[in-house]
Amino acid sequence: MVQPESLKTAGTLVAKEGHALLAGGTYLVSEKPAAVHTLVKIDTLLNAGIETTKVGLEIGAATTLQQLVDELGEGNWAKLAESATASCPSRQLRNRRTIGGEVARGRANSELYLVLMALNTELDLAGDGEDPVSIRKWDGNSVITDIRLKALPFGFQRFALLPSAPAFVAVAAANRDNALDIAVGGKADEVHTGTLGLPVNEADLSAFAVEAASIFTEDHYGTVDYKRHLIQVAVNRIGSEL
Amino acid sequence: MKVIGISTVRVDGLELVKGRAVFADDMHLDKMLYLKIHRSPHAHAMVKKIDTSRAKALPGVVAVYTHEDFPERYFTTAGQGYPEPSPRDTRILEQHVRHVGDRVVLVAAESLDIAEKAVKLIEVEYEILPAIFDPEEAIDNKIVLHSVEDASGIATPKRNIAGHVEESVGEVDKAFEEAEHVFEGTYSTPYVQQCSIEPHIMLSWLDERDRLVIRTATQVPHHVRRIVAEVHDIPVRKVRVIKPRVGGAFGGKQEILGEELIAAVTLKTGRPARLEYTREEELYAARSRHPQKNTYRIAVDKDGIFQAIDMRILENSGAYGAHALTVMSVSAQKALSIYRAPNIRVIADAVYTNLFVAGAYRGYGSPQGFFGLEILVDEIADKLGIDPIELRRKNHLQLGDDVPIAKVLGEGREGFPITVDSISLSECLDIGMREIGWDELRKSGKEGVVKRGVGVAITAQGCGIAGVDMGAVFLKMNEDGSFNLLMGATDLGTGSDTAMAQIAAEALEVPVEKIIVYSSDTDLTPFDTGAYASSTTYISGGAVLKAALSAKEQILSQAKKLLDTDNVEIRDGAAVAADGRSMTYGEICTKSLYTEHQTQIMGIASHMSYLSPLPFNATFADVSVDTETGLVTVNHIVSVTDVGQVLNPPMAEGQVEGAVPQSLGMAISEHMVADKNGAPVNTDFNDYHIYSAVDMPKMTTRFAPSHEPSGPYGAKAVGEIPINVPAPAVINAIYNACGVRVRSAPISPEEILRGLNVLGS
Amino acid sequence: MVEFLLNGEPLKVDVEPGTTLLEFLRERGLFSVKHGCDHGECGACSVLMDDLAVNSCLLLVNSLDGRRIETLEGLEGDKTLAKLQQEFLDTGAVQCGYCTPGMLIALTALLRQNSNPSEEQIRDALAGVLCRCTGYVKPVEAALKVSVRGGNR
Repeated sequence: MVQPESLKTAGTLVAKEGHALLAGGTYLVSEKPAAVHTLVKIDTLLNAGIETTKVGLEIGAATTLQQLVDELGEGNWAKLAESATASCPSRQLRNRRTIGGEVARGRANSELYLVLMALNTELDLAGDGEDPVSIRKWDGNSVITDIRLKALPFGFQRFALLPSAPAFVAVAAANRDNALDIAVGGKADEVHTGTLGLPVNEADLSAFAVEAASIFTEDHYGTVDYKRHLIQVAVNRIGSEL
Repeated sequence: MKVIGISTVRVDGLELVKGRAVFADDMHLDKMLYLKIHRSPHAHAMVKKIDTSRAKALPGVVAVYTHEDFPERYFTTAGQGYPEPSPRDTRILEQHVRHVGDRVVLVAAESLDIAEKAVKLIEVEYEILPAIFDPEEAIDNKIVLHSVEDASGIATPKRNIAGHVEESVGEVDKAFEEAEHVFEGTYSTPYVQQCSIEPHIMLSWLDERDRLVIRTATQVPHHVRRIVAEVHDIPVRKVRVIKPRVGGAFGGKQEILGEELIAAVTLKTGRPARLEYTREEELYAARSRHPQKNTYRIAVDKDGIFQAIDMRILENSGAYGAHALTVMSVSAQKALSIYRAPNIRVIADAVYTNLFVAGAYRGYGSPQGFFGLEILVDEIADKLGIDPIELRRKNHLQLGDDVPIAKVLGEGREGFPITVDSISLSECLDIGMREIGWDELRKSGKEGVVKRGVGVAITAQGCGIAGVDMGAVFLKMNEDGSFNLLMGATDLGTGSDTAMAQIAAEALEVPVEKIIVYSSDTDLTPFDTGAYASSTTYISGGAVLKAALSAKEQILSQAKKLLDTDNVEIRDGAAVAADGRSMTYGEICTKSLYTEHQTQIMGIASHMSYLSPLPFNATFADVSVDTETGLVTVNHIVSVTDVGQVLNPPMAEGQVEGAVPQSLGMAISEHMVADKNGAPVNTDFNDYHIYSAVDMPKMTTRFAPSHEPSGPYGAKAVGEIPINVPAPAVINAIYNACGVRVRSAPISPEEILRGLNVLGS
Repeated sequence: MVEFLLNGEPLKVDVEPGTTLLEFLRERGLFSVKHGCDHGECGACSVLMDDLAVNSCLLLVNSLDGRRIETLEGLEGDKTLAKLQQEFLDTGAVQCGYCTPGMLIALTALLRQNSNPSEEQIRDALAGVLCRCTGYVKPVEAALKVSVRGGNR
């Protein structure tokens, strides 16, 4: 384990083979990637904390999911807290998982990640005067220090066999100037994003759903056709809320 | 009664809430070796060559064993009484591997890390064989999993039939020919796993006299002792098995699943050995529930009375046949018990496939057997326009009835007659209807996107295996008027230590605190078949009652001598003479141990029974179906059980409250999935998802009292019955909610949508 | 070298890099902390870290610098825990007991933060502890009884 002095150093180290970042650490230990031999400890170098800004929220990357739930549970951002709980029903895990880690991992079945994608969240990265990068365009290198969300109307839908079971289809959508930015995920290897005009046109939604459903395969949760259908149901439900 | 029926704090509660070191793994043994198993990645293969050199060369690796290190001896892993009614088709380590996860090489090392690394360094050359994954293709498949020369006890090895049962009562074909109505349906249940939070865990060592000691989380210490001794060809007297506190079992630990491996290492190296299953191994390489695909036909007369029931079972045993015959025997015996049809028949086959090995899981065939039966009965009610509760009331057993199937069908052998001497099923239905809100919810809630409905299912189980199960007890008295209760009966967290203490306390007229329980140690406690078949309360409890009453007789007899009069009676922990003189239990025992008419007051008793009375249960489900997604939410489960006399209300409720989510899991979220190569797909708790605290529906648990004359203080069993029918109750509720009839578990939301003609059918 | 507090005792240890807190604690004989799965799904390994419930199976000992770790053994005498333990016994919330330490740790953490939690909050705190014996019915009941008393103070 090494503890670098600065995030810039951490960024350089983690580009090396066999090095991985350790902030919350839960993914590392549970997945035990075989090639990792050095952990670059950065939790003390990162910010934690939530600030309201003129356009929305600024959240330090080291903010835990439980901190999100505690501070945002009531009020305008309650749905963000809900998405954090949905993506991680275990409080023990929420006490350790960080929002930065959630973004870095980019799990397709993380409702929180899908919400951040739908909101086209901006990421502040460690380095010299780098501009914030859109979460959709981040290449996965360098260290996230802060996350900036715009206060847009948004919602999410999750379809799972039980409240605490992982979602096999999940959809988040945000209303940006009468366009619906959508992120589709669930039991899949990637997230599909797209935009539809508001109010939602059934034919456009239908086409979007077919395209988005390509991230899914047929499994014990159902056929791809069924998942395509769920995407449509989800977008309609979110659309009617917004 | 002073103690029976009272909410008594568990005798083992203190150490559990304090987190004290009482489970199998809660000890350090000097020079202990850690075992890991190298498992087959193929569903069906012959091991051609094993190269263990790199593993053996790893520092810290002490032993590496393959099938070549053991004689070719076959046994069954099933923890059943001798002679086990399961095929002896398993070797300690296999050369012919028959499922993904089958055991090929055993590694013993100084640490878990080293053992894990060593397992990865083993190279095995396999000749891959074609495999069978569909139980419907197993019989007469040209692929044969077990050749007759190897093993014994297999029904028809050449046809891949592990077990076969065929029994009938009355004139079944005639009844179907003459019936007013004949209804038929085919239903299936999946592989699901017991998922005790404590995995399989076991330790072994040689004691100061070089006797093998095994400390294991098991339901069957005496069967472990016998089978380990058999596998290693050593006499039983050289083996001691101790069951510590167990972190849940539910049938999964009614199995010899590694004790023979740790014994091998300890016997060969002289060192202590430890084997623990990972959660992944639990979910594909331990044991599970036998999937069944069953067809039921019921002949109904013009009054809605069942005249005949015909049941065909196709049971998937997986790669080995542990419990295959007996599980489907129970499916038939229990499912064909509950209704009074005079003509009944079962034809059942258990087949081998190259899939997960099934074994014992709470309910032991009843959840599978009642699943289809209770859905078909619901379909009949619907088609005949009869209320489903009324249809069941017309047909279920009544007090005094004989149970015709019981005599012809036991578990692996002929059965024994049963007469219903206690039943409050009718009251169970009354209570359940009221608690679920039956009248209101049957009719309302059918508009809108989310539709709501209620459903019901009923069931019966047994109390031990008639003519087979036996439990024994030693009870000895101490000078403070307390008693040591030494019994084979096996507490898995089920509370049997407490329930047995209550029976002893009631019989001896002392408070429960005066009973010191020690159980399940083959050197110190007498025999008990073990905790399965819902035998503990009825059979082991019967032995406790006998021993306690016998001890009380001796107390009385000593008191008469000590008080020098025959006019003595026992009252509240003391002997009272007619002339008013009295002597406490403590005084009686102190004198008896040390000073006068010296004798150790003790009770020794065994109990078995040719009776296995039926507990009964009615389970009601209130569900909501989202008709846009097909997803089902269970809102409320009402489970009402007839267990005769409830011994300990919170403990009995606890049994129901834990069983219900296991059955709901089978209906909603649990399903062991294999891919097209027979490899497991969901091997962690994320994807194989058991109920958590935020998933639970509202639970209402009630008991409708009855009195079983043959049970201790009127008690019957509660351990298994509540798991039997929440799943079909949910399925019947779904039908009431939205008119879609599901016939298999787990429920597929997509199938519900297709049933609703959303998505096209 | 890493320094942290374990049940009130300051420790300075040097362990193999991959050592989890779960392994470390059980090596030291703190057997209340249990192994039930391999990925922080079952919560049987829960401990308190700086008053928060966390899965010790996912914590690397070398990352614990400056932290305060508590297990059931070290919480002997803690009034909140004692109330929970007594209520668990009286309500019949313990069956096999394997998940009981995990539940007690999760509930102690909750009650330290909020002495009068609702049923929903109790279930949320317990969501990360899997139990196969109780259906969570009596554990939630027991926690609610302690909660009500907390609110009445």
